[in-house]
Amino acid sequence: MSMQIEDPRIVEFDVQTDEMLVNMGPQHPSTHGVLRLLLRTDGEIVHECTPHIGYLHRCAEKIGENLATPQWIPYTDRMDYLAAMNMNLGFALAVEKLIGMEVNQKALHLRVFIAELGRIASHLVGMGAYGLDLGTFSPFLYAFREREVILDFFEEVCGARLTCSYLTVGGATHDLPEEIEIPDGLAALLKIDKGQRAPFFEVIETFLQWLEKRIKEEIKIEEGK
Amino acid sequence: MDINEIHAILLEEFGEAAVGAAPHDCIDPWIQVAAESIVDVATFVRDDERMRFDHLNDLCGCDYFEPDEKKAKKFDHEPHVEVVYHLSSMSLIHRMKLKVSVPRWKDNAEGSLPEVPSVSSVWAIADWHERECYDLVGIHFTGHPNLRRILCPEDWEGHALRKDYEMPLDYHGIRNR
Repeated sequence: MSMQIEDPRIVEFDVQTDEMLVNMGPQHPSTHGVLRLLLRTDGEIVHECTPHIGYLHRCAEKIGENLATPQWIPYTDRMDYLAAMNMNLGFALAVEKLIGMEVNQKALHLRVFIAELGRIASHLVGMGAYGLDLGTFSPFLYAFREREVILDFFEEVCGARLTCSYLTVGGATHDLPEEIEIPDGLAALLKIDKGQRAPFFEVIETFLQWLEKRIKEEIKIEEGK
Repeated sequence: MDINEIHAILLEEFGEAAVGAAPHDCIDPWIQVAAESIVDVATFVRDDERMRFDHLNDLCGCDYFEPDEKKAKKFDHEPHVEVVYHLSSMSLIHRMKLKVSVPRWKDNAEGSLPEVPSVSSVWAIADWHERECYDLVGIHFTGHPNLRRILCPEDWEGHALRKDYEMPLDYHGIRNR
């Protein structure tokens, strides 16, 4: 297939290429997980793409058939390991709706609070990795620096950083801590000494205020002020 | 729009043979639709000015069956499989569920899959959802452009989310149990 290009400055390369079937994945760094794409290519042109998504399937539904409901909470962590708290919440809400359970006000507020932190952490990875795909590496590192602090909070709250299993049916496994040690990451961001202790909510508020300031700075740069 | 209003409109349009007598009274009410008229109903609820269900949130299958004979006596459902359509409207912000129930096996012959018309021509996303439903629950969607297994390998035997499913002993020399 040769293309006619009218602009004479563009040199036409008439390279003969054959059609090729290429297996992209399942282990490919640019697929962000286990995704296999079966590509039919001709030179650099992809004519056909058949995605095979089954490599990511972990039969969680089938396992769930033989488990008690609270036992399945750890599986919901693995549904989206970047926002494990939010996945716990989704499952817990569904079960509570089914059995008609009312959750007390404190647990509801705690859940909103934790789920928002989880959302911020997840979006940081999402936007960071998006930049990575577009060919810019630095935003990814900045995003992970901020996310690290949130994961430190989660560690203080429930002992786990990634697969939390904290929000369960009926509320949460236990209460939030009263006082925590300021995470090293946050101490470095705020330029204060490591190892200080402070009330939990105060630390979170400091972090969020710092984040807000950063976002406003970012907007200023974008607007060119 | 309330589910009762939607049901009244559907009943007027399609009659009782296609749409169940009333929406089921439970936490999440749904409207029962006959399998042969699901494509017409789906097209109608998508295009009608009052409903505009332009988004198919999820399409899933469910097997109502109790394989254990002792427990089967207490099981208060007739054995059947269901396809559930979770719909929502982006423009009018309301939600609805449709259900289609079919016998577990076509013509009561074990192994021949029940048939439900495909709605992939109505909502394009239904393509993959129906493939998943076919793969795991074992429902044959007639008129689907590409009904292959999506999660399990293509030469896998059986449909895993059927309640009487038994894992094959061996898959290409790999011991499973």
